Amino acid sequence: MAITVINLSDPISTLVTKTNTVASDLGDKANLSTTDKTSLVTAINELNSASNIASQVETFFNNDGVILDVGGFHADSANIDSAHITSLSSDTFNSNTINIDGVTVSDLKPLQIKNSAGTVVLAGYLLSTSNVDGTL
Amino acid sequence: MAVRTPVYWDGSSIAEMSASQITAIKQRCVYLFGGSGRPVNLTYDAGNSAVGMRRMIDTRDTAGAATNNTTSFANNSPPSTNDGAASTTYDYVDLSQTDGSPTETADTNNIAFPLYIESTGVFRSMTRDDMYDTFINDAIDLLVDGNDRDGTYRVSTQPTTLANHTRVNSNPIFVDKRYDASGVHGGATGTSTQDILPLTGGVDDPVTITSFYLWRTNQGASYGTPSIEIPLQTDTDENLVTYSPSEFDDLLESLIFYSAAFRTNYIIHYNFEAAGVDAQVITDNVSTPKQRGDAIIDTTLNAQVRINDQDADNYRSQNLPTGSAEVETTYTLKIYRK
Repeated sequence: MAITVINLSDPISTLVTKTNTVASDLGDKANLSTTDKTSLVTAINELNSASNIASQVETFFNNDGVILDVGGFHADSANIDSAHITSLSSDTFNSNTINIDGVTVSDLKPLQIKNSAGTVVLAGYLLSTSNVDGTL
Repeated sequence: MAVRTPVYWDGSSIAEMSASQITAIKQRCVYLFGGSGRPVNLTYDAGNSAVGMRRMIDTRDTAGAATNNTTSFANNSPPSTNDGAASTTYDYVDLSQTDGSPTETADTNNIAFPLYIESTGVFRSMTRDDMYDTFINDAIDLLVDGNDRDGTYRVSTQPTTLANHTRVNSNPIFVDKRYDASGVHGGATGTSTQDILPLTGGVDDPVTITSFYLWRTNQGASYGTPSIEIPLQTDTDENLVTYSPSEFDDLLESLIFYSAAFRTNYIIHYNFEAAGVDAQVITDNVSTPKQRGDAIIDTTLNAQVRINDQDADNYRSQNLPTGSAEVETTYTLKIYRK
């Protein structure tokens, strides 16, 4: 749709038509769903507040079955009550900030059990309570 | 094959045993050896030729031959007494070495023995040789150190009561007898005339000086009942588990019993060593033989006395043993490794 432009050469009748077109395009402010219907500016400003946007997003995702399905996601920090992560990887995985039962993942240590012949019968990792090497 | 430091669960973490905790396990082995199933025993068995043990001999001086004539004592020249001419052989102690036929615990699945830390983050099961090196060898050394250790045997002159010991038999294993100088001639030391000839008790008329008995040291005499930390092992599901106390006792008992009975250089052995007339040196030992209990001393008398006795015109003279004790042979029961 082209922008309605009133030219200096337009006759009165065209001016009337174009003015009505502009008014029609703006719509009736009484029909605004915002709280403040004083003007389009105040209505838009009302929508533009962070708290209002956050409230609207929270209301949306609090509905059961609504899933955020995005191709990418970046957040400086997040607080997630629970999550199922199918695959987790990171180039800068900070094991010092991940806790399991109060123990940081940085204390994960290799653990092996050998039989008396020296054959490894169990190889894995042990989440230690100490970050000192050689101390379980 | 080496000395290891087993790990145990201390209630909140896996910890390596301290030196004192390992010592307690060795002492537990000594305690277990004091149980009734021990394979090495000494028994009283009179007349069975001292199986596995050397015999002992009690010697006694005997009176010299009597002489006589019809005119005077001066005409008599009685022969001397006979030093150690009479004897009794004591072969009353038998050694049994493999009672119960103990068997060596197998290293089933190579996980039968406790875990130790091989390197950072690596637990490894001990081998049976590790068990010997860590616990059993030292426990055997404790058992043969000459002190009253549980389940070992000793000699005592005590006939009925000896603290922390059980008498093997009410009969003595050796009796030191000497000519009854006091009873026969009142202990005379110079030529005297007494109405005792001819002798009614014969030339060998002994009296008991000292009796020696065999005793066994009771279980718990050395260290009481040592409480120990039970080590961890791994099971066939690779769990870390603590042995039950009875399982670990059975394991230690099996190894120390087997070692004491069969393991070369760690077989517990006894024998009588002797110094003096009937000398005997133990030669099959790999550890220094240690004396167990009182020395068994065979004594005789160190002098003779001439006794004259006139009956009508019969002048009798005879030399009889007298004097004080003279050691002929000193026997000692010894314990050692072979």
